[in-house]
Amino acid sequence: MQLAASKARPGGPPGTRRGLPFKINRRRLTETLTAYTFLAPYLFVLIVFTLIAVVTALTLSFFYVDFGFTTPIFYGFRNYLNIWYDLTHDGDFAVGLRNCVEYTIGVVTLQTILALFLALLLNQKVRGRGFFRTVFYLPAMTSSVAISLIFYWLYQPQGGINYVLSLLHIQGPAWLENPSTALLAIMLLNIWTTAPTFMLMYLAALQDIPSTLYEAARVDGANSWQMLWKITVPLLRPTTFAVVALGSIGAFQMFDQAFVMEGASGAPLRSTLTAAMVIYDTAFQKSLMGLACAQAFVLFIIIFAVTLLQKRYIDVNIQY
Amino acid sequence: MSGTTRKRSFWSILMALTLVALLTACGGSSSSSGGTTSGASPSATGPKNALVRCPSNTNTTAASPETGQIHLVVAGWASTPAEDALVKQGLQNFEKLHPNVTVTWTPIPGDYATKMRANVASGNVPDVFYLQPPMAQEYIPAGKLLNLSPYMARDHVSPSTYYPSLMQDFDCADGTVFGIPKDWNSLGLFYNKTLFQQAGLGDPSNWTWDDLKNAAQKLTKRGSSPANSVYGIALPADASRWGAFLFANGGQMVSADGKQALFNSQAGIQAAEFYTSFELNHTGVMPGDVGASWDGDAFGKQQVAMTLEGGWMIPFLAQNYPKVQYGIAPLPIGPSGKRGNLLYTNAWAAYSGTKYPGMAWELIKYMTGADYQTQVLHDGFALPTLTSLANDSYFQQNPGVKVLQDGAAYGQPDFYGVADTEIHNDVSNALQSIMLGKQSATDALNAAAQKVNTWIQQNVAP
Repeated sequence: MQLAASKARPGGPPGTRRGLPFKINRRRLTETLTAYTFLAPYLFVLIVFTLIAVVTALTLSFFYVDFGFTTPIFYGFRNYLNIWYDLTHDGDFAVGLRNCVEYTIGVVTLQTILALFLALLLNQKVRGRGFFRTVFYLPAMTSSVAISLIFYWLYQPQGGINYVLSLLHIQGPAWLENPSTALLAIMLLNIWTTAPTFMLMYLAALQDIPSTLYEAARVDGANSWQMLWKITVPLLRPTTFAVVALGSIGAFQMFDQAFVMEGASGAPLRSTLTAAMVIYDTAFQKSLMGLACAQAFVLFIIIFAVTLLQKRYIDVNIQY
Repeated sequence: MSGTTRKRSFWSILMALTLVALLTACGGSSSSSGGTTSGASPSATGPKNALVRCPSNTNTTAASPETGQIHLVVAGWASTPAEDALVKQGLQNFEKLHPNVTVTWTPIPGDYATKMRANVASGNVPDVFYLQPPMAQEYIPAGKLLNLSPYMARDHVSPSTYYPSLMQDFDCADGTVFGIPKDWNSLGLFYNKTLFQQAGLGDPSNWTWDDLKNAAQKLTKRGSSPANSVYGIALPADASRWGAFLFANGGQMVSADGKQALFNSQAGIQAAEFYTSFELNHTGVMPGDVGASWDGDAFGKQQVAMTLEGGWMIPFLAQNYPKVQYGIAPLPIGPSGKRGNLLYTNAWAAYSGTKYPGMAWELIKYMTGADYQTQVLHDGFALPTLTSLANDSYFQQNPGVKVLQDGAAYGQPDFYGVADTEIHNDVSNALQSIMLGKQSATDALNAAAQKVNTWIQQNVAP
């Protein structure tokens, strides 16, 4: 940046020498241009794939659009009114959102606790730490569709999980056929696959906590339990916010696992229908692109609101 | 709309006349369709399909096969390697008949309709492709398909040589043809002969609903868990099976225009009570209950003695469960004295924007003609759509396949117009809800009908 600016000076047109404001503006201009040149590739991607897409989706949500067959018809707020009707009459989107809330609460709570637990475990000076880190992280590196297919087999009435249960003389349920266990089954799968990523985040944060704090606490006679609750957990709050927020966003958008294991209709009895699946179904099976865009915006607003609440109640600013 | 031209010099006049005829026919005039200028050629219209509006703008003449080097892109899917080989064989034979044509077969794996939709949106559509009934109702009114009626009239391919119940889904309101069924299937009662013998049951060909019920009771032998039990029948919570019972009981799924759910009628409730009674009194199971992925699997594992499936079961059983001794019977006769059945079919269609409409038609004509249709039948892949093949010798050797073929006479397409997806989902959910004992048949079907009707009111384009 410095280099670019100093080069620009001698080569500049006579106008630059006339007054101070002009000179500064030119230098700023050059700097800004340089900055944007470097940013251009990213901005291009952002504008094309995010900004234009979002604006188009917002526009489409006010139209009746069937994606390439007839010209769009302006609908005003009709798509949103239809969503309101759906939400108040136990429609698919209402069920999808309710499942998402249930799923998010279950997954985020358990995976956060599990991630913290695993991170604390791996933060100890134990033998074979590197090995365990790799093993714990493996599920996160596998494709979610592949994992879903493996779990699909494990969850069959005579599959792996019920076999293990039968050794303990427990008759396992038909996990994926029963409306009261199907969502739970997908929750367990998802906790298992996403907890390791968040474990890594906790692990990094744990290593940032100065050891002097623990030494001081030990001098004051604190035991490890007290140190965990009074030092570690409070100091991890910014990380916990990140883990909870990212986990919630991911959970609210859950699609692939349920889609692979239970199909597009969210069988059994819509118990695994998620908001994202309803949006997919509306857009591509029923070809109501406008309504799907409106549903996507409603989902976005909900996720945004939830994240803001989490930021307000969990996040703190910590400086060592 | 058969705008056949006998003399090319009169092309423009004929074009104008056919356009007038087209406009009046689509404008709601009740006069007979297809009557156009040239009295000599027969009007090639199929059954009128009230569910699909005719396009406002479509070709009314037939192009002759193009000359010079031609490249046709053909899209579809390949449910099995056998289907892939069969289609490729057919296309190669077509290339031999037309040496100036090269055909590229591009099967689309996965969600076919969704990918085709993206193709249409981007204007990059294959010349000839498989058309599913739900696709037809969008593609036809939007003018995306080549109008085949003029071609059929010119080449004397009468729509009546195909089963009308199969043609219907690919026609529009005045009977103009946009797709020709490529093959089809219907449902049959697959029964395990060994288990039938053990239970002292005879040939189920003329059974009524009551006979089916009693037989399921006799066939059920419950052990300590579903895994070591044998059940009478496997019936999934699926609208695409239950529909056959609805029709047998004189019920209907939707009104003629597809805009009103009718499945919650008295006939529908009775049919749902009967269909779900097997699960509720434990003489039948959903496939998942016995650890099977679908009915056919449960039947192959001999955990159920009967199931309702189509012709695809035959290669499946031969390949995976060759030892099972089974027969295929027509679906049982309902209380109204009728049989019901569901027909599953897809068509060959061409893109209206293809560069080679004449050659695209030649390809469709070949793939739906007697040569290739015979091959489809003899391969055991699916049933031929040509009525003329109903007495093919293959049926004498395979009486079970004949039973499925006879389904065309009393079956209805498993397709219900604008709300097709919604109907299938909601009815299947209602059935499952009844089977799990969560709702009565009346409540479940009423709720589903309410949901379908609301969906139609809200989402069908004005």
